[in-house]
Amino acid sequence: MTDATVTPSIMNPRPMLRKFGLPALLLGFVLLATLLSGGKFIQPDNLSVILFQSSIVGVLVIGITFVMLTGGIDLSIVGIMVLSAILMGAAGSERQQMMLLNDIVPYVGPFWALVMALVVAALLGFLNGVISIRFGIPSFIVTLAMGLMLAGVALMVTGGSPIYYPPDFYEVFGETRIFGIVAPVYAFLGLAVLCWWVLKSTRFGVSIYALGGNPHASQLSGIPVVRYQILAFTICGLVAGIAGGLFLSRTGFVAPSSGGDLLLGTIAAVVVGGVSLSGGKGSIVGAVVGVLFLSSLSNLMNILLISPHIQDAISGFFILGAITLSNRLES
Amino acid sequence: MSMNPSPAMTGHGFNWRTFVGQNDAYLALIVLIVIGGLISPEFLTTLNLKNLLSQSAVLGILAAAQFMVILIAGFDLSVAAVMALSSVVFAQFAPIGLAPAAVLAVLSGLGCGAITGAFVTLGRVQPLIATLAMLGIARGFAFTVSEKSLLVDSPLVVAMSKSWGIISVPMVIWLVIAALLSVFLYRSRFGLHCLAIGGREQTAALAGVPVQRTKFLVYVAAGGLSALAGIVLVIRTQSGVPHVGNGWELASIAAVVLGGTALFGGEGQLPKAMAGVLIYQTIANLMNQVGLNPYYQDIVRAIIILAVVGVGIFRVRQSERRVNRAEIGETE
Repeated sequence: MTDATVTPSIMNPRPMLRKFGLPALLLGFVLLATLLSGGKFIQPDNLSVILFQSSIVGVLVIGITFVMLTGGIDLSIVGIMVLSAILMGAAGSERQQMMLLNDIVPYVGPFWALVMALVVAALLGFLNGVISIRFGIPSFIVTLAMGLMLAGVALMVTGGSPIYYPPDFYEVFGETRIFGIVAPVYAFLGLAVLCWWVLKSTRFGVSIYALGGNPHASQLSGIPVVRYQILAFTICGLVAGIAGGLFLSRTGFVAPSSGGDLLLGTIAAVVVGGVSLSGGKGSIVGAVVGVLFLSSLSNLMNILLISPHIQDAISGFFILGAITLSNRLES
Repeated sequence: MSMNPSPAMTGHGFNWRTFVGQNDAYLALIVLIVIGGLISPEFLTTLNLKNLLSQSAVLGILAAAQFMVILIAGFDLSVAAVMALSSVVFAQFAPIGLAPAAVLAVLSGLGCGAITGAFVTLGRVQPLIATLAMLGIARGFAFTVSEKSLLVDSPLVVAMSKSWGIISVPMVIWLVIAALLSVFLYRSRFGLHCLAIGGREQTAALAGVPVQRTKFLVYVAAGGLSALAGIVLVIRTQSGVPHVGNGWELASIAAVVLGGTALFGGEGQLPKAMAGVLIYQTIANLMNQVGLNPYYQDIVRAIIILAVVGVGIFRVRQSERRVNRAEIGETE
């Protein structure tokens, strides 16, 4: 899957379609959604709800983009998010400490709980990377198994009960508004800009595209392939930890079973946003547009009272359709 | 399904190493059963063995589906979700009549398989992602058919939940399916085509194997088998459950690899894969017998899966190295 057209020509519609297809689709969708919802969709209040809803999946998408650019995948991303949210809540709040059924996690105060959760998240990502890259086990199996394991760990840490009383900090953060938009949205967009810059302007970022496209050639040209692949998994884990913080500030609540529906939405958004599953192709901007598109779609379906289960099925069809379409455009 | 006559039988004398190498899954199973009998007095009771076998039946049929897909160098992450969909479809329509309900359940599975197959072959979507998407689609539909578990109290289904010693209806269905499928894959041109595709797709295509058609049919068959697993599940538990089987897609992969199937296709024997299912379930059963906390069981299972796949990969590398050496002409 190499990009054959280096210089897009105006005569050939395919590169144009690839470049402007998604924004055009988004615009058409907004018009259609406004019509279908009788104007409800385009209300500023609703738009800010969409942004808020996008922020968690958006952060997950940013993380998984790093791994997918190297040609891997992280299916444990939601598991890491939930575990770090649980750690933030369990170790950061005295009230929650009294509610826990066991004392595996000590009380360390909100700040150190946050730090601990992020470190654990990054370490789990690192572990995914090491097992998958060093031992050559396909990343989907490693991360699926990691997800299974983390579900067990989450149950163990909480004794099965949900975290109801995270530190107040998260609620305050989730309700702070700047220009009418809640703080988590700024966190999401800030992270997106930071990661966009990392991928565009750092040696690591540029190398990641090269090694995703052709790991062997990258190795020969002196890129530390293994180290960068593991680093991509580590970043993905860390970013999933950040998503855990946003999850707490949005819901004020987390259970070991939380977030079950987020994985498919994340993959759908990345894929719709044009990030290639075989590595080396895609961008943060595309992925973020993919998230905004799918969040708008799910928002519209909520307005139209379509059941969340049907929405899951629709996400599935979106993944299939988007990849088929992008394969058709490439060949 | 290796097509060579067994080297342990040919030539002069009996070669222990080859014998163990060829029957590793069966020997591991026997060793595990002996260990089980030693560490837990409950393990070898009729009741426990009956439960173990009937639990293995559901996973076993899923693993048979997974086996076919892995044989052609794919993966199917949707097997458990399709099973859940089929179980609720069967339970929902059981009051109308068991036969039409079973037909609808199997059709739902075949339909899911056909959609996956069409996107994998015509849309050239990677199997992993196509089946992950199908996981979402099938679960979504399963919950749309019914949000909650559906009880099936049809007298025939209740009658089928009886058992005779360690023999139960699910176990018999499983063994019949596994036996028929083994013979079919071993004897038919279709089975040969699957092996060829798993070995190397381009080569198979050049040799005239109808690659796309075979792949499509494999995904359809996997969908159908997963649906049968759903029906067996209803027979076993008398209910259709939309959320059943979370994580079983991984268990089915692990079981198939435990049974010596090459993770990236082209090599494997269905009877051995079924022995892999028994190994996997025996380990799970023993964890319960020794009273391991269920939270830790998930962790142990994940580690087993990683270890099994890791060893599988190690084997593939070794055989590649052997092939390379043979090509160079070096002798061992």
